[in-house]
Amino acid sequence: MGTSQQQVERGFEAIVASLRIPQPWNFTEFAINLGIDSGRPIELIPVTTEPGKPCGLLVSTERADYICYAANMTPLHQLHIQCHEIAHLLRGHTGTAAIDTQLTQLLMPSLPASVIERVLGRTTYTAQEEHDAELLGSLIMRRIGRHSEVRREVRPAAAATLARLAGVFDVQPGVRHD
Amino acid sequence: MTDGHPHAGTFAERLTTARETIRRSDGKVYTLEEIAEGVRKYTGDTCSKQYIGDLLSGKYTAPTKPKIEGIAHVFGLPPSYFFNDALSEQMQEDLKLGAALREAGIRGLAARMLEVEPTGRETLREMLNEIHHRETVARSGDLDQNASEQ
Repeated sequence: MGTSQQQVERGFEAIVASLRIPQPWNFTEFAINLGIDSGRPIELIPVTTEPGKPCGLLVSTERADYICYAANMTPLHQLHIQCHEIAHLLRGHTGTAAIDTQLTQLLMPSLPASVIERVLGRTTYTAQEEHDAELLGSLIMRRIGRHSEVRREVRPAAAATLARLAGVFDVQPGVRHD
Repeated sequence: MTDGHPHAGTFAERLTTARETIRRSDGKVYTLEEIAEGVRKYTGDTCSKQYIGDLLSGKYTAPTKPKIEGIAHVFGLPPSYFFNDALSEQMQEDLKLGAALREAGIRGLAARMLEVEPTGRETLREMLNEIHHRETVARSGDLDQNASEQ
């Protein structure tokens, strides 16, 4: 933590500032632009999930990156998921061919993590990478919020949820709790 | 022995599943000699590649407990993978799902989980099926394009 954490956050701020944010906000357009800029297509797959189920997934193949997200959640919640997955992409986490340990343990709950790595032939994400994605995702949300309708849509109940999420994910600068 | 767990399989099938799915770091399956060597090191006892081959083919069906533990060690599995039908069935299913992910060419996966619970696996599998479908369509599209260019 300390200065190195501050350097990380400054780096993230620079990444966020370089993003092309559509006006008005539109996630599909944002993802298409990002795919064009990076040279790898980003495909969106909306799915319907029951409350409390996994609601966001980033899958990378040789050809493309796929973002799956629950389309039946509140717009704010969807945005949180989408920004988290985008943050993984921006951090180049898929470039290192890594796979989320939480996800693999959900998919293959009976197997030890060491066996899963040998089956997949991949290393898995570290907790630090998850933390980074959460932080960067929240910074992207903050920038979007400044320029769009999203913030105005937030109802008191959703704002409370957002504040609680920010607390859970240890995000200091992102969300005001007042 | 496999009552209630029809997919747990014989010892040979359990060993085959482990060998097909749990690979060396270069992605290839462990050779019979590599497995035998691992067992020898673990048990301090003799074990030939012929013996491992006979276990895989089902010619020998009742290896000693130390040998089973040695084989489990080679694959990083608990020995109960070979002893416990219920656990073995679940683990084999998970091993095959992992192998399918590897073969689908998926090189990165990340998810935001709000709650981790078993029923979420169905949603995840649906997502992966959709991606597999789109990849297949994209690949056949590339082939069509190549064909029309020639």
